[in-house]
Amino acid sequence: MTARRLPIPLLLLALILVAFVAGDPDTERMARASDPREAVAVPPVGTTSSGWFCPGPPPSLPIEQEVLALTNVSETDETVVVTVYPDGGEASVSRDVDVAALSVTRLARVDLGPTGPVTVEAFSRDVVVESGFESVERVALNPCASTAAKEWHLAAGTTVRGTEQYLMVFNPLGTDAKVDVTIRTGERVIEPEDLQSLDVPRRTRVAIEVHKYAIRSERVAIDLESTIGDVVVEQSIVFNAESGFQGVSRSMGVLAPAAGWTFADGNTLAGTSTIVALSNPGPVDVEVDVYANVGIDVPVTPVTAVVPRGGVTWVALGRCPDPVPEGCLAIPPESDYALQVESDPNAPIVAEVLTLYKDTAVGSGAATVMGTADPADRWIVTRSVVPDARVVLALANPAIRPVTVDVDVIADGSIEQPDELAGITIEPGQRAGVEITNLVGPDATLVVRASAPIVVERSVYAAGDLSRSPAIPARGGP
Amino acid sequence: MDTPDPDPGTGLLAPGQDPGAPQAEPDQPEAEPRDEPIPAAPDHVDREPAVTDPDPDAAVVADTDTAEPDDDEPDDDELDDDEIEAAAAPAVVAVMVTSDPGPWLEDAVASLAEQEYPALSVLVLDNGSTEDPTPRIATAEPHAFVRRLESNLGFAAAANDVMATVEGATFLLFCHDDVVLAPDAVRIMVEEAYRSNAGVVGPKLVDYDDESKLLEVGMSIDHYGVPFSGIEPGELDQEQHDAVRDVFYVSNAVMLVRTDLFHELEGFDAATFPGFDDVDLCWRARLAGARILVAPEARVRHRRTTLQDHRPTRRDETVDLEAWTRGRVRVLMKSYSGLALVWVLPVAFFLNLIEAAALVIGRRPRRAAGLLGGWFDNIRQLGDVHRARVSTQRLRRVDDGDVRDLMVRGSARLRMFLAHRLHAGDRLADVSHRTRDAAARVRTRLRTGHVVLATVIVVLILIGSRALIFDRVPQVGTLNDWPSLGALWSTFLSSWRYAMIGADAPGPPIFGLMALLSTALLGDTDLARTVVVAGAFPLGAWGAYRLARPLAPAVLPAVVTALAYVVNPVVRNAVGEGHFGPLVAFALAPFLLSALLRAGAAAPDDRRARRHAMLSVALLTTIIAAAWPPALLFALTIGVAFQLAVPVAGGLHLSLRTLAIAAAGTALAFVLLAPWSFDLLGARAETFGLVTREPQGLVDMLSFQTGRAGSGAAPWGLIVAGLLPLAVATGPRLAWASRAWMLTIVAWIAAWLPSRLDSSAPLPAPEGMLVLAALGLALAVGLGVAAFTDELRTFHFGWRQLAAVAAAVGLALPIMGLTADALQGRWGLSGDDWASRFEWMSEDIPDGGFRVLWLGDPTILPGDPHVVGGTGYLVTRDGPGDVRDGWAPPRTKAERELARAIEMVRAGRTVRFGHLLAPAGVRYVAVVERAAPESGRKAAIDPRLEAELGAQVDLTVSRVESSAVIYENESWIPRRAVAPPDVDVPIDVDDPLEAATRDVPPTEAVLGPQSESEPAGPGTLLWSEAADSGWQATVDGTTATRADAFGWTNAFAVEERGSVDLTFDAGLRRVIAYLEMVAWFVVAALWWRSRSREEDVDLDPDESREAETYEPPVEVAS
Repeated sequence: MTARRLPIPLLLLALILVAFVAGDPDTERMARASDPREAVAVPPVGTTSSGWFCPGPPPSLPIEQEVLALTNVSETDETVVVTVYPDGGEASVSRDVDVAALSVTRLARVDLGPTGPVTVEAFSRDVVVESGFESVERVALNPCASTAAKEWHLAAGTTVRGTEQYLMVFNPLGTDAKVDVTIRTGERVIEPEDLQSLDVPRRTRVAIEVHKYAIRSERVAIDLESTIGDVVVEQSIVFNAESGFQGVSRSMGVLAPAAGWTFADGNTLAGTSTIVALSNPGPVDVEVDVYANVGIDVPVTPVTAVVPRGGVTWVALGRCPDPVPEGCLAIPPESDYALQVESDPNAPIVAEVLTLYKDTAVGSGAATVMGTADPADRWIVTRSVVPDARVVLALANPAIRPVTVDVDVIADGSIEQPDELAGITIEPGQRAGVEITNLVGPDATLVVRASAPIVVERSVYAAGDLSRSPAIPARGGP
Repeated sequence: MDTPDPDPGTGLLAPGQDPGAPQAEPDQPEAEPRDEPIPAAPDHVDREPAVTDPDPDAAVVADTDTAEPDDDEPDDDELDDDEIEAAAAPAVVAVMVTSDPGPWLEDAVASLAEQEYPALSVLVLDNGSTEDPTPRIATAEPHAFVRRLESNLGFAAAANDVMATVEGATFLLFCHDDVVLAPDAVRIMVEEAYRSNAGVVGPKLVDYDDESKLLEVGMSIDHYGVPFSGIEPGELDQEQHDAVRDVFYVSNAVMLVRTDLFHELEGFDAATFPGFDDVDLCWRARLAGARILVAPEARVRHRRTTLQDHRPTRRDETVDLEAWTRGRVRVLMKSYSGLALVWVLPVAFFLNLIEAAALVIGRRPRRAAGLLGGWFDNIRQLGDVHRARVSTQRLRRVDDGDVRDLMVRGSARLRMFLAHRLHAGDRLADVSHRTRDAAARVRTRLRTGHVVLATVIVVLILIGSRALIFDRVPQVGTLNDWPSLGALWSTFLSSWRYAMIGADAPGPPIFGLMALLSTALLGDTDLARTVVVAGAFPLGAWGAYRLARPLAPAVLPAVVTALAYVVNPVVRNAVGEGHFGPLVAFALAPFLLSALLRAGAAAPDDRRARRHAMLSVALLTTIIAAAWPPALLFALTIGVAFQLAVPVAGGLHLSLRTLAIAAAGTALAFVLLAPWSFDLLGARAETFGLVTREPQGLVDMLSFQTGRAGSGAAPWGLIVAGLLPLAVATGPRLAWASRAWMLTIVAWIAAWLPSRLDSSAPLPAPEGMLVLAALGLALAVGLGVAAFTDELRTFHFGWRQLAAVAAAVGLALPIMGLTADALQGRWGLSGDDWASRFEWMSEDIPDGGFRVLWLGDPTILPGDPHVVGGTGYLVTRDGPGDVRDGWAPPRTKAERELARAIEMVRAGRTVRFGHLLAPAGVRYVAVVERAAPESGRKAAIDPRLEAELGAQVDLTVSRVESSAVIYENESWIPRRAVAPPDVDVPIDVDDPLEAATRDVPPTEAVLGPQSESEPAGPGTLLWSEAADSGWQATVDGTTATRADAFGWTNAFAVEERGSVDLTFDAGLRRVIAYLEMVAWFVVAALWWRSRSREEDVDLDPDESREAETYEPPVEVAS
């Protein structure tokens, strides 16, 4: 047979055509997701060991009022290891603590050891840990961080007269950390020399007095980046009488900016002063839209704020003067609302709310609460036991479909579901607030189960202070 | 040197008799002239001194005293000058040993008779000749003494007879019966003996028939006793060796020995005959402090007809190799000091083993047996050897170091080989004439195109590989360091796999091949590794040349094929990416394709040729697949490609034959790789070296751009050049071009399609399959050149000529690419590696040992990683690891737990990763994001995993590099440790990781070797190899009970403190490994035996066919 000359060139030509038309593989499936971790979250299913890291209050505040709340939502008893790392450099103090099934164990911090940060190691995903103040005059209860990380952000800080702002940087791991702290006010970016390459030795914490670097600044946002090692960052703001307010606010930082933030709870009671702080750590100016959802029948005109690069902008929430100035979201008085903050997805920001109450119907005090960037369909929240305090569970539905929510009450080894907490329907973009003070006992834990991802916050209104914090997301649970 | 004085009873030459005669050395006793003439003095022979009796019936020659004096013999009181001279000269007795001598005997005796030396007596020792040589001797020298021995005792034993029969002689001149001494030879040697105070003196030996050719001018040996003359075969005597000098020994063809020294040495050692009696005597003389000299002015013609004149070669069947080896080894064992024997004997034996292997391959098994038999003879006669050694060492007055000064370095056999192969021709003819001719030829050849191209290839390869050759090959990818030779053998023969955390699986055959290569290079594993890496270029080029050579009548197309193959970026990317397997494939694939071509070329009834081709395919596939398992499909891929080309190129029968041979060869290769190959069946993709890779597009494949090399348009130039034969070739050449192209296309598609079908599918190193594409393309380019040179001239100028220009330009592009890449000197390979950067890990290995867990993208980890969730991991021991960590075994239950632990940390389900790793002895977790510290491929690790690793409470950052982080596990347990008896160790648990998470017991490392540790226990012995019931521990001989520690490693209950011996019992696996190696040798031997038939295939069409009608024989055969 005589060899044919054309088939091979034609085959080659076809191959080249295929190469240029459809030769590239489907690389989308190869794209890797960015780090989805959250500072606070129930560990995933299958967890064999988890760590909860509690930096604790600044040294200037007594730990006598500090409590550690260990919640076991499983039906088996658990044993956790609680370790205190004393500030003075003494040897760490560890103890095993039994946490009975379906119960909350509250430990007085002072009983655990000297002043210093605390690590709680659990051996399942069913134990969650909160810490903070639970007294009439000082309420600030927040979940501890469930991870250490290299990057932390906080938006709502202030160092005006009568306030002290602290940054507690806790290194719970075995590697000495070195961190860079950037303080951003509305006017400038401060990178204090002594806060660059700041050493945070292994298993110690460092308290940074932010008010000494950003003196008398109304808006103070903080970014922390670790070059070596991972840390946990919590912010505390102490409001003295000189500030015109009182109380302590504490909030755990977030690990990364995001394009959307949701806040489930807020109100415009008389005597309140609330802002949402928008921090832009990125390199470009960002336009941010702030929406308030008061009710289906109560439209609120959103506000668009420009947050300059590296800047921090406050948007007042409610109680706006008339005419409404720029930067004030005109939420009707005496309204409960949920808040939605959205920016360009390519220019993520950090959003945090600062609320100051003064002689309101529910008391006085201060609170900061970080927004939630990633709604979840399951949340865990611990009931506060502050005497005579009102505890409100706020549920926000940021989605476009209605959500049905059931809340289980876990207490004393059993699970119950009060009628008031069953089958709660939340319309798209709306919120629901349930005062649980009288619905559940003092040592109760609520497990919120929703038919779609929602955002859950818990607010505690005591006579002398208030606290507001996100619940603990528990994704992937049964 | 303390040399014994000459016999004071003998005289020196009388002063004034010979102006050139030497004076006595200052330390010599003053010689007294003898009172009576020396020649034939009765005291020379104490037993029936005899004169030659021409009567053949005489049993013993007559006494000198009874001899009839010559009529003209002067009286004592009438001494002439000669007699005075004789009286002053020291007496020399020439001892000629003969046995059934040839016709040269008379000449030999006559040359003694004609010596101008006055005091020479001649004694002929007849060594049991069938016919009495006395009459012949008498004819040549009537004054000679003849002593007949009853049987042939050999030269040495016969010569020793003089110790009992000769007296009064100052020197003994031993000589063979096939020598002719120049008349002044004895005088010169005696003079030199006095001048230099030597104990033994030898002459210059020249060829019997052609005195211009040198045979010996003193001899030396290497450290292993092999003689070495330093004279090249056929070397002309131009007085270039005529300086008197110390030598290690002189041949007993003619050897002047001081009589007293000979007696002190107790003569020759008869057991070293044949071949080493002279070596032995001289060595012992040296040990006794005597000098051995050669006096080249004394010339002796030597016929070399006696047994011991022959040196053994592998093809010289006349030599009794066993006796020769026996003598040599006996000399070594006698003469070396004890310390030197410790290394000399093993090395000498090892070299003989290699030689024996070569003899077996060369189909001379009996000679191989003889070679090794010589060793065992000495072992059998160890008592006798010992006695001889004691006697020899008693003589010792000098150290071995002084003796070794005169030995040659290296292997004398190798030197002889080189002398034979490299220099003989130049000595045979007029050197200057040949040099001029050679230079002229070189100049002529250099002007030819193919030589220019070949030179370009060689120069570019050398320049591009210079850092790999002269510096080191960095440990990147799978180009890991090779451990010691023993470790390679051990890894191959071991029943327990070394890689990962161990497995009950057979050792990969690649380690056996590495060990064989390293053994051939005298155990230098670094050199072997360099040879493989840097040698891939030239070997691949040579293979491509050989592949194409039969397909074209001229050399140029074959050279261009080699060029087109070697300029392809695929090999540079294989080196740059550190892909060992594809590199081996590149080097050997041309030979594989060549074998398949020959298979097709063989006549249908030529079974032997086909068998040879099939064995070639099997052996090559075995080697390539051992290095890179997917290559098991290489031969089949070629066969399938040829089959697919049938509609285009025809040749159905040819392609069917090729496919059949490919299938048979592959099947045999599979068997040769057993039992390892059976482990591949059903194994996970990683076991084949397949890992998740960034998928590449078909454009990348077509341009061979799988790494840094090959960017731009250069690779496309190869495609353009490869299209030339499709445009201009005709007939069979066009058919072969079509087949080559079909192979290229099939290989391209095979390399690309899997990632197109599933981008997350595990893939082999892309360079591996692209080797076949590169090979097919290179062949097409070569065929294009062949068509251009043979066929294009028949066409008028037109588009075909333009196509040829385009092809030339196309080929020039990748050459420029190669040139640019060559400048770096290491083909894109990094200059550094993680092994060097993390060397500190193994600088201070803690007791018990540890492991390192490497995490990162599977394409950049050093070794063959396994993959979990897209993350690669591998485990090394006591540091950064070496090549033994490659070729990962199939996953075990224990390794699944390790993978689960990694998956857990990636998913954020643990903060105690260190606890989870503790049972495996993992001390460090190395997270790397680049193939090498400063360069190499970058691939970020899964950010989630990276973040979670940083958040583990029991890991500490130990070292941070620009592209790597090393974590230290605070909870690690030594690989071999004992937990105290009062500590609970999780045993046989259901969830291993759960057990390890909660608590890691305190342990104490076990010291000492694995086979016999220092006392340890009592308690629970933790052995961090993967849990397997084959592991056994005995404590002071008592077997300890085994259980699964933490559910995935081993625990043994140690009741009492004692020495622990840990062994793994895998039944017959070691035997199977030996059988596997035997199978290799058997197949290799069969292949070797059948190779001669290969020449029967007429692969050189130049002689038989005109260019216009040229048909490659392979096509004709089809």
